[in-house]
Amino acid sequence: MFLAPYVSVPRPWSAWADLDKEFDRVFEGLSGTDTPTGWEVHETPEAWAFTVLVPGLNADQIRIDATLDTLSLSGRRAVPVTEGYKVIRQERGDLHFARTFQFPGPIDADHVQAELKSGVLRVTVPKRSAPQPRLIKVQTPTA
Amino acid sequence: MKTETKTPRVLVPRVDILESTAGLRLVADLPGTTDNDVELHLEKSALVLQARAPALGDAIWRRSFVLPRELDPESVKAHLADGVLTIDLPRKQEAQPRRIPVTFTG
Repeated sequence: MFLAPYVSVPRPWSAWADLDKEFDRVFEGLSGTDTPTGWEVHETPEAWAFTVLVPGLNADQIRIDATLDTLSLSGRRAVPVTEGYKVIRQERGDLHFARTFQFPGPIDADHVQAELKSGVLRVTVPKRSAPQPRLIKVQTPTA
Repeated sequence: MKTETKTPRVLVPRVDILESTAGLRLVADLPGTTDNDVELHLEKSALVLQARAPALGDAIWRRSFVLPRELDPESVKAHLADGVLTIDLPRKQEAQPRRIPVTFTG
């Protein structure tokens, strides 16, 4: 069977490099920043490892679904209106992400692990080793 | 063997700025940081926010803000939860709006 190459690797950290230029910005003259959700994917021989930035989300606001060879991640954050406050500047806003990854081979959906800490979500997706081809010995019945 | 000096990557956090009669509130997305990683400095009239993010390959979140004069830098309060930092910057007492009792004579 032909296996499609893994092409759905999303926005890498390097996309954030441009933000360095905005290092010393101050109140006035701010322009909007880049995406609030950073993604990183690593592959090891045993697993795929995802890192997703999800500041302000708790575990109940994140949904992860795994099938034989896909992983779907989604989440939503609504920035609450704070009583008695007037908004001067809003860059964070509501956050919504939904993405499905197609893997080039089967994954072990039963052993996907996800950990959320300080607004960083890490998901480890173990690969399932494909069955090895076996040599079948031809029997010659003697009778 | 070549030795590399690794400079940490600097990331600019997204920030919301809110205002009330009591002062300003800054809310910043700082994923990957905990209480011990966050530093707030005052440099002249600027508030500098810097936070290490060990969970992100030791990147640094950094951003500075010019503070309006009427804020009281001595009574800054900050709170970090789920990678979101909230900073409250109260106005100086004399800058807070007050009701002036008026007495009419004559």
